[in-house]
Amino acid sequence: MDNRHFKAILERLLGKKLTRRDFFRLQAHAAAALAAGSVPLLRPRPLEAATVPDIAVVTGNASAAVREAVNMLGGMSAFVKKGNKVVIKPNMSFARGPESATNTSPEVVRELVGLCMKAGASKVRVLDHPLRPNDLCVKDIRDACRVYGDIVHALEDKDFYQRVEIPAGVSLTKTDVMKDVLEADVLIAAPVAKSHSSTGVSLSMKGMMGLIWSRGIMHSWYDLHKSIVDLCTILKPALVVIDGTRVLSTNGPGGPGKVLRMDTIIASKDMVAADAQAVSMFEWYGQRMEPRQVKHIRLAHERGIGRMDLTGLAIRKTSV
Amino acid sequence: MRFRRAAQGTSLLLFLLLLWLAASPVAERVRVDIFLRMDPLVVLGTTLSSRAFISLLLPGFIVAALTVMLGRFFCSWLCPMGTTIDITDRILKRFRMRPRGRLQILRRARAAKYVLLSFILGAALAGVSLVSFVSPASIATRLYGLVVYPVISSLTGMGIGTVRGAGSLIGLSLFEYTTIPVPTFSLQSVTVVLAAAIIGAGILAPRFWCRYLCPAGTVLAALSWRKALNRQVSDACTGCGACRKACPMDAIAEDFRRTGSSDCIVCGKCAEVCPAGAVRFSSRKGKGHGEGLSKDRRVFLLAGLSGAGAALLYTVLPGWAGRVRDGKYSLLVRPPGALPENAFRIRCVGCGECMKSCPTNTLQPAGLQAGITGFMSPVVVPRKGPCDTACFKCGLVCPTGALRSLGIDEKSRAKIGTAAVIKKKCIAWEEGRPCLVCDEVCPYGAVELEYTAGSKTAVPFVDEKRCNGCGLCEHACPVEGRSAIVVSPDGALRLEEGSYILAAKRAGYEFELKQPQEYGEPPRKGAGRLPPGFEN
Repeated sequence: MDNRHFKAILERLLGKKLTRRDFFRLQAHAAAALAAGSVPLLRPRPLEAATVPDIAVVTGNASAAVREAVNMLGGMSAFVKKGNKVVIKPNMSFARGPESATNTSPEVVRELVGLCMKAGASKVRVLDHPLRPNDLCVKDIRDACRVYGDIVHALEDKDFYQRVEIPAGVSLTKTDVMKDVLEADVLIAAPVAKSHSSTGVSLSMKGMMGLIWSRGIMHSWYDLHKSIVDLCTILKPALVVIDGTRVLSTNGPGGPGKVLRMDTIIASKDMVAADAQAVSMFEWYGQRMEPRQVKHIRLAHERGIGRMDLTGLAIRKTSV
Repeated sequence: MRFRRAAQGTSLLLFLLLLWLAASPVAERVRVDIFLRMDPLVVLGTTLSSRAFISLLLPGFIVAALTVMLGRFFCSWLCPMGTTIDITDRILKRFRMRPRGRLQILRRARAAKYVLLSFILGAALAGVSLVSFVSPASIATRLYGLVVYPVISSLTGMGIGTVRGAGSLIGLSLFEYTTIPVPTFSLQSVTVVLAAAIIGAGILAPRFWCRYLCPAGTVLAALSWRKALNRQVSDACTGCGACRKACPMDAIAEDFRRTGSSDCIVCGKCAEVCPAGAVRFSSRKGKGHGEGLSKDRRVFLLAGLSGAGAALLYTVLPGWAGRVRDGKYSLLVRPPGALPENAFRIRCVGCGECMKSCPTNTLQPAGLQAGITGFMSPVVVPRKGPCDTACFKCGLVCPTGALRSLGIDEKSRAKIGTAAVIKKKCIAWEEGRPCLVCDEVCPYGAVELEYTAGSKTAVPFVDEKRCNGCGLCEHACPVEGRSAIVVSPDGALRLEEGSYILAAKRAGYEFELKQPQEYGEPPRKGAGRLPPGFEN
């Protein structure tokens, strides 16, 4: 197999054109990986794999579980440096209490804000673009975070968004993203785990739609799954913390549906891996599903945004 | 009369304050529409057209009773349009043309306003309300609520944006996430043109509208014909004519001691400018204008005839007048609590107070699609905003009860229409692509996604027994342009009286907000084996 062939195959796998430099780098990685006898070809496991897992799964009390999960990934200081600006993206689109599992649990969000503050963040904002103009949607989370100031906001004015290009976009090639997100040093996704009647599940990847201005267009013009993946090429959180304290197993995203009390927090640096873990470990409509059955997760894996092959990932589970 | 001017200014400010508060919780405790309910034309016109005593309009009857004694104090002390005209006249004064012969013509045409009034009252007797076109309080409410308010909001928003931008340049976060919602209304141009004509006429003469046209003022003019409070001129009068020149209503005769008592708005300007201090107002009988009644009688006769003419026109040409039988031909989605269509049109004065109070901006003035009788009446336009399930403002602020004042329990049963899916536009139906926005946003659980034979994805169905017509689905539908799910007035509950809760029950409607406690599997007829949104 000569280089030209190899490059063509890689391009198809990644879904994007490779520059010469990309290509050489990949080849070098591949050679190293092969030499080490490891299977994953494109993304060799980083050196710290021995100490830091790819996915942390913690069960127990929400706050403690969030703390422990972030800790297992190297602590918040691994993500947030002193003076950094942080944006946390929870789900807060529904005017229902935490027991309905349609919004991220306020406790989880508050704990994350606290950890960011402790790590020395200069500015933390908890932002979403809710479906409805309704203060009731954000109320619980806003109240919970009140100790850290007036930091929870639903941005419902186009002035707060800025047009950006999506260079790797297949169908969605430009969109308006929250200025705060563009200016932030660190983006943290904190979705609640829930089902979604058109995208299967709504987790960290689907949640990125809450950071842009017009998501209607994603529904109407494009294949929703493809455009979610397009969006995730520019909105890649440094840290994903999935709130599985309660899981909306049916009738998501708005409910009311069957809520499973799972008391679980899933954390990862890889949004695809985190979502894949949530899909495989919770029950959806009474069934066990595989990550590849969620089209945007499968596409994201194929396009190299992250990994859904859980068997090849280091997953560490614990309880607090 | 500095006192009067201060009171007049305060009164306009109060009018504006109440209008501004129409959307706030204050409106639940304070009647913010008091000025509309004092407008004599709103009161008389609506009482005649509805052939009912509407207790909401009591303030207007009190104004009328006081006018019999005090004269047209409403015009000079309370009327928001009158005060606006007084203010704009101060500017227009500089550009005013010299009257010469024109004033004489106008003086003779003074009776024209009686013709206008009687035409309107004649039409009202025949059940056609034309109040919205000419009521000063209605026009002022529309002008300030639907034009001035959005403009000021928009400018404030720009100002805040500028401060935020400037702040961020020097590292300050000022107004970080402050936004000023700017409501938008259709037909603003119509209101602007109408108001501009009324105000701009000040270039011909001061208070031109009040003198020669205003039907509300004319009602009061008729009432104050033999008023008790009259202008008296003592012998100290030097005959300088300053009073006649200053009178905004041209109510003073060539003989300066004589006053047209129905033209006088008791503003006191004449007393203010009199260098000899000869003018005062007292309860003694005043000297009339000297223009006999005989002319007035002829005017009244003419008035009666024109009223009858309007009535005839209305009976012969029902379509032209826009008469609509109870909801049967109505294509308009009305706000919750709207009376049956005919009764509604008879009462609605097109003031726009409900539109100003609407927090989601869904209430918009209707143009001529509602016919002449529905001019400026409110319609629900879900594409602009949904009818908020928790809101019941519009009924609270309606001055005539065209929209019934309902509590939240009654209002949430007052179905305004039914949503229907336009399959050809629907992403799920037509293109087979998964989309669930309408189901997701429906607060009543009236939109169900189901798999049908041959459908690639779950498609939306509306359960008309659960649909309240709030229009959240139509508002949120991601399709471009017209929505793929549209609310029509079908099945709307329009009650003249009685409980909507009972009526809804009788009709078999079940408007229950989705409760987070009601967990359970959604019904999925003919569904595949996979959960929705997953692939094999």
